[in-house]
Amino acid sequence: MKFKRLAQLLPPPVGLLPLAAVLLVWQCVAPDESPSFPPPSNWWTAIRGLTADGLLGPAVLATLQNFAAGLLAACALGFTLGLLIGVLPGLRRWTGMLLEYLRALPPPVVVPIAILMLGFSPGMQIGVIAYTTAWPILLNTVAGVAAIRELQLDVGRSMRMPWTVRMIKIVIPATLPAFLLGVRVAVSLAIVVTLLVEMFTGLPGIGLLMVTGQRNFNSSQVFGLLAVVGLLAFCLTLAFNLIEGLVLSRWPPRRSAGA
Amino acid sequence: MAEAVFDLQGVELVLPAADGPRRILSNVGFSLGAGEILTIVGASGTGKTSLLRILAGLATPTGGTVRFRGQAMDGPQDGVAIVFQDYGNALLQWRSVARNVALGVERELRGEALAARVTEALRLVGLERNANDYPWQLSGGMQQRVQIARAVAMRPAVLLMDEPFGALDAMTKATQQDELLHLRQATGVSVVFITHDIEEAVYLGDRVALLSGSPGSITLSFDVDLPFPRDQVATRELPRFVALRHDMHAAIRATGGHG
Ligand SMILES: Nc1ncnc2c1ncn2[C@@H]1O[C@H](COP(=O)(O)OP(=O)(O)OP(=O)(O)O)[C@@H](O)[C@H]1O
Ligand SMILES: [Mg+2]
Repeated sequence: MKFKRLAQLLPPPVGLLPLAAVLLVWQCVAPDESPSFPPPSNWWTAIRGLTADGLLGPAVLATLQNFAAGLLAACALGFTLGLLIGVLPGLRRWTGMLLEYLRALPPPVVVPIAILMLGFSPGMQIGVIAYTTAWPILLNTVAGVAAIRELQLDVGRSMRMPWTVRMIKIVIPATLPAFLLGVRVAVSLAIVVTLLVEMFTGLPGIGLLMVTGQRNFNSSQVFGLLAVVGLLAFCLTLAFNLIEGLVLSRWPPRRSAGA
Repeated sequence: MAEAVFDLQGVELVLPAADGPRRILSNVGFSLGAGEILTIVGASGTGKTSLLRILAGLATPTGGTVRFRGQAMDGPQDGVAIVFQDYGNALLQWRSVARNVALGVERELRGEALAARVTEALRLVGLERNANDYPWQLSGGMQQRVQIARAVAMRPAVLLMDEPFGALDAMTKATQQDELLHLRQATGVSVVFITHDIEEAVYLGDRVALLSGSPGSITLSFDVDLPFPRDQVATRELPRFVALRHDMHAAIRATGGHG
């Protein structure tokens, strides 16, 4: 049964066939030395080369570490602030415009400011990831708190729970599905921003390797890294689905996917 | 005479509505003696739930006085348990049935004692086999009984019940009615029981009150002089039962009936 649920998280394997077909055609059609569209076998060679030079492993590790640190910070920040703003209607009114404005800033434009403030450091990268990905988490959490029915809180009040207990037993669990919906958006956004910052600033990671490959006109390396990034993103999304599925198994099934 | 549990005089309730303030209740007065079952009947929208929320300390009347054991009310009182009409929102959907029933007592009881209390309450409503289910996996009538178990588990001195048997089939309803009478017999709990079912009101009540009009007020109230223990078949065939039911119907028709 557990296994079945796991299998349900994966898209059906036949979906791999078109991808395999495209790669196969590409392999057969592309000239071996093509500067723009090198055949997939060359990607593999390029990646093997990077591994042999001891470049790929540390780059993947650095990217993953910063991704995870940034996302975790975003979760903590977004959830805490979201709860606060959701619970205190006054705060919500006073911060509404500010939040809308800050949220509308595209992620790349915060990088120069972050560099000015924190320098070219992993801390700066984590800060940028956390800042940009905290938004969907925060806004979903606020919406989640707002969606709690008055009656649910009345249940706690009628049992004379202090507000801290009501928070822990009612508000936080009731908000969890909305929070996770925000995290789902944040995961894909965090991947984008992590790589973006690496490409932008030359901090170590897969993004930097890609830019280096591009500057050396090593298209096989760029394509190979693209495949690696795709695989990483796929695994991260899958891992998130798994965690979300485990956590939400006690909640009523979502009425509509997404939203 | 023992001190009244609830004593209401000239209670008014005005709530803001889309088209300005709306009078919901007007000049509502009654008292509930210790160990008494007061049933309140009324058509939909006459303010039964609003009245119960006032008794629960969840709503503040805009006029009149509400006393609980001789003291002016200031919020939910100790020893008062509530069964809400809207069972879907009154249960915490992410908690199992057993953990929902435990909600009101888990701060004072632990381990074995808590488990025993929960099992006892679930047995009373016939749901001991559903302890590990989640509310969203149960039918409406079952969810309603989980709520009753949650209230009973708190060993309340006063039970406020808002159409608690509304979603039950006739057989289960009869069983639950008798369980409630047994519970009062065994524990001396005082009950305010809201229903739109006249037969049920007469069968269960020591006293019946009719809430009608707009704004709602108590237009009729009488003692039910039917012998105990009551019996689903024999009691309902008593000429006195039939007469009381008749009076009640007549009174409702006179006050404008339903709507
Ligand atoms: N929070 C509120 N704000 C404004 N009006 C309200 C509010 N709650 C209830 N009302 C109004 O008060 C009136 C009485 O509502 P209430 O829920 O107390 O009726 P009820 O007798 O319990 O009805 P039912 O038998 O259908 O449960 C209705 O006209 C309703 O529209
Ligand atoms: Mg009601």
